[in-house]
Amino acid sequence: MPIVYIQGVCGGSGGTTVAANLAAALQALGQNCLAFDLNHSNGLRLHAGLDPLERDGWARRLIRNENWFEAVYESASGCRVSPFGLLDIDESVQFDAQVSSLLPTLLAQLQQPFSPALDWIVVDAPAVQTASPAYQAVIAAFKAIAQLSIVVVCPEPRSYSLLVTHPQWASAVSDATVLLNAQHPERELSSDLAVVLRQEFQVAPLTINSDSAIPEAAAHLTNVLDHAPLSQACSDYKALALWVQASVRELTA
Amino acid sequence: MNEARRRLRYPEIGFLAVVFKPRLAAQFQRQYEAFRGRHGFSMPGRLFVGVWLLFAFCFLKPRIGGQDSWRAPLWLCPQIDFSRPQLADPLRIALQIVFLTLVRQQSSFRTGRRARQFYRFANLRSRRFLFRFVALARWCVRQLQHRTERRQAQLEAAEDAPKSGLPAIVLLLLALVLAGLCITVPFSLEAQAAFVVVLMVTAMILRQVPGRFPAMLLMVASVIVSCRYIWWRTSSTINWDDALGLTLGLLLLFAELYAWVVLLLGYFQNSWPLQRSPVALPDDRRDWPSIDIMIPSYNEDLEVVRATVYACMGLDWPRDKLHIHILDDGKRDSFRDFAKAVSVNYIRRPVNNHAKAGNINYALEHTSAEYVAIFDCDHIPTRAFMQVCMGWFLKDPKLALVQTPHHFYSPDPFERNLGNFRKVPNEGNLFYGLIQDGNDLWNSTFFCGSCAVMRRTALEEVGGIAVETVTEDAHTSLRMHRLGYHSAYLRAPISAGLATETLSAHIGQRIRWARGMAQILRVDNPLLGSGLRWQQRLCYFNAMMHFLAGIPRLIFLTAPLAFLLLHTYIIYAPASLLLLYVLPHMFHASVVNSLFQGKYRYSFWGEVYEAILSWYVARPTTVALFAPHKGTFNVTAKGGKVENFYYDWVMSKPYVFLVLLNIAGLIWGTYRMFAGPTAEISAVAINMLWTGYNLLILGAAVAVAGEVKQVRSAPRVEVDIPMSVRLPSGHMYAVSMQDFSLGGIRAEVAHGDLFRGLEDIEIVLDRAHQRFVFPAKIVYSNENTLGLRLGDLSTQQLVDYVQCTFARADTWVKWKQSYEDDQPGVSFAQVLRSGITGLRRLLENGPAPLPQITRGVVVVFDVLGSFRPRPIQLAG
Repeated sequence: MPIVYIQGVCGGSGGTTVAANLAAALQALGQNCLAFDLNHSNGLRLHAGLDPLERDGWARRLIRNENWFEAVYESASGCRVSPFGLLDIDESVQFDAQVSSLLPTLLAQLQQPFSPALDWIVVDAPAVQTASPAYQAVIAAFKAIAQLSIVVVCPEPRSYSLLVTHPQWASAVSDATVLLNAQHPERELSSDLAVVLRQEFQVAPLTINSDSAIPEAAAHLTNVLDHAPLSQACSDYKALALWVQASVRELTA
Repeated sequence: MNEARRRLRYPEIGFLAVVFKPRLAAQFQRQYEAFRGRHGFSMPGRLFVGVWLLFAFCFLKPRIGGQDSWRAPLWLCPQIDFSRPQLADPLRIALQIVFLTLVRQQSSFRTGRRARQFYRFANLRSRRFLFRFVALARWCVRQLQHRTERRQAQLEAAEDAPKSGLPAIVLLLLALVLAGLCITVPFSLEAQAAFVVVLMVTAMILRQVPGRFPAMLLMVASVIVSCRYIWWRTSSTINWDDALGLTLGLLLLFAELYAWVVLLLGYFQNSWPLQRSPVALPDDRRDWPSIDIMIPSYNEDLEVVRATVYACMGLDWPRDKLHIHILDDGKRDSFRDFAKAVSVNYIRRPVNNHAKAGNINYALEHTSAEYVAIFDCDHIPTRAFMQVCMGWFLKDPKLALVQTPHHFYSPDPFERNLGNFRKVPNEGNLFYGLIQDGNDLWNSTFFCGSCAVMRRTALEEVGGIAVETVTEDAHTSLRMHRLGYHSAYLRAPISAGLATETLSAHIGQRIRWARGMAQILRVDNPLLGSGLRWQQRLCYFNAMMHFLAGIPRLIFLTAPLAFLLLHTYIIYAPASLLLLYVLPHMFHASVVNSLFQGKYRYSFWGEVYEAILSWYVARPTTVALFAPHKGTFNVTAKGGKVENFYYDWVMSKPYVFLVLLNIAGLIWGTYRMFAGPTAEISAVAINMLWTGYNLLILGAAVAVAGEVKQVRSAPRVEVDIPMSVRLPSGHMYAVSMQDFSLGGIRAEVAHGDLFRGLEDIEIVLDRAHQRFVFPAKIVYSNENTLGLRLGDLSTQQLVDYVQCTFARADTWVKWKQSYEDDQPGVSFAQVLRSGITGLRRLLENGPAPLPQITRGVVVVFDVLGSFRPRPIQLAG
């Protein structure tokens, strides 16, 4: 059961969107998929048709000493999602205090067989600079068990400067593949930065184009494959799923 | 909305909505629509289909034999249009039912593959009892090959050691003596029969063994058989008794000797294609040399030249080392303005002498880069062109010329009029695919006028492009070879151009080549003069001989008539013996040619191409051979359009004459078959078969004269490239580009409704991970096609657009690889079809009663054919 670790370089890079749609695309290939949200913002569930007012999530269950995998939901297309949960300020403090001690059990349980069996786990992690030092260790642990880790980058100055200048990113990006997301081919800056990024980092051979269908799908609480099957975004994500499959096979072989 | 429209289309089943639930009504509509034929429903059709569907719904179970039962009529009788039943349909259905009950149907039947399946059956590999022999032969040949290789390695290892065994010269002499015996010993009828059967079976088995070694063995067998045939022909078949027979017989013998020489030279030339690969350039781009790109033009459209210039501007080469020059001999201001607008150099010379050669020579005086690349104004180089070509120049300082193939993205008149574009390799494919590559082994690749790079010093040393003949290109490279310079051929389709438009232009071009080659033969004969190695002499000589094929081909096309019409024996031999000599000669030659040329030219097509040109090149080559300085240069016009279908009577006149002559021969032969002496029947039969074959080839030649309409002046290139369309709303759709030109694109879309009501959009093209956006207008859209016209693009955008389309490095490669290997049987069927089409077209365009009679005959055949039962495919 390979784990794909996905991390946006900063808020708004589209890490969560990529994770949700990649999970849906893998599911569309006939492979059972679990999308696992590590973000406090708890956005992944919005692509799976969960009630936006639902506060349930693995973090919430964990601090209440409940079985966290009770909080796994299945979307209409069959893809499973494990939301982070909505925590209020007290719960947040409690979570930060407990998470390090609960981490080993969580990881062990995550890698145990699920029913029905899982073929993939897609982990959606927050950007390194936004997480507290304690939580950084948690996401690093997830990254360590992942077979493939992807850094989602928009070809724009803010992302680029973070990648190049931020000390934590220098190491974080060294063992990951960069995926260019929301590229605007009509903007010269976007195209040029894409060329620069390709030159300086290890970049996936495909890009996700900017397409209005992607936010529209989120607004409909679904993924872009179900919402706009004819769109460019849909074919981009299908291609991404195939590429992920092929590279994991290559890495593990 | 779709539902509503469908309901409107079939008002007669509107009542269904009242009787049935909506789901069932929709299902009926779907089924009803499936029965709709090309011309819509007629009244009885409505009735029949309606009654059948109700019947199937009420009384049949949904699926029978793995098929939807309502579909049964469509499935069982595919030839019948149930939406318009005809009076004779009951008979057709009855015949079909009889056929289906008596003949077992295949479960995986593919139409159009029948010929191939038949061919595969004829292939030895599928016959089990011979398979063991093939395997054994294969094993033996492999063993032999390994042993020679091992021996070679030993010899190379012990270069200085005294050589054991017989020296090479003795071996060669021994082989020659044995071959001489094989060729000259006279055989009785039975002995000859045994000899040829053994050789033919050997050939059939060897054909199955892959590799160059068995191919060489086949070649040797073919050479022996052909030489034996020619020996026999010259020594014992001349009719010395009859003056007319002797003259015609000697003419035929001359033609056969010519064909024999060309065959042997061809074997020599094609035996070992070099298949050179590119050499990498130095890493430091400062070491890359400077290049002058010359684009000569005389009367071509600016539109045609623009794409080439944009492509050259996008070449992947340091900007400051790439100088683009438009060499305008037409002295047109529009060209000058265009050159200025895109800032490339424009050269106009005060005089016009020596056409293209003079034009380039003038430009050579006014430029200075180390290398000169020449592109005809319609040849578009792909982005990597220079990087692929230039490496060899830096590696070999004596290299003067790198030639690359001329690839055409539009059909030439042969392909267009025969309708086999991208199905059958075209005329030039053999030359650029195999012959130039074979020449390269002997360092005698010659310059073809375009898509080539030359070293300036070498070019200046021979005095620029040669001006003495009308094929200045081949002549120039001949001179460079004489000075000891090298040449190279890179068989990579890294540029593409427009083929000639009309048949007359195409033939005009070939006439020019033929005349030029004949001129070189006289002015600067490659067999004589200094500086060339004997292999180079032979290669050049063969290239020139090839263009002298006109008269011999005409002789072959009329030879059997000498017997049928004039009743004279031009081959003085019994029919059975003649067959025993000539058939193996033809058989072995075609086996070898099919093996070596298979990917580049299919069997029998060479004869069609030759037949078309023979009449026209016969006279100019003969004239040029005797008076090499007569005649003028004619330019080949490109980028025009053929307005409507029309029949080129002027061009096809000689062939119509030959067809009539052959038909007369056939008629007279049939008469002699019944009324003539019985002793002659076999001779008449053989000559009639030969005439029939000639008629077929002529038919295909005549088919080419019927010009098919071509509407666009900028021809579109058919491709299948992914691209995206961006709407103003920010939505993006992946579509598939189906064809493109400098002005627009046609794309295939999954759902045309998405683009309804839109006009201005953007298209996104992709080249090596870089994306480019171009504004475009939707000109038309329907369910699955989108017609786009490009908006106003800046120069840089145009360069980018050409880089994403014409100049993509992979555009032409895939295309070249898509031809299948030659299968002589299939190829013969293609020629047969073309021949019949040609003869039919000839009749349809003939004088008054002929078209009507033809149409009548065709209708009768169609009607009779419609009764033929059709095979069906069983499910699973």
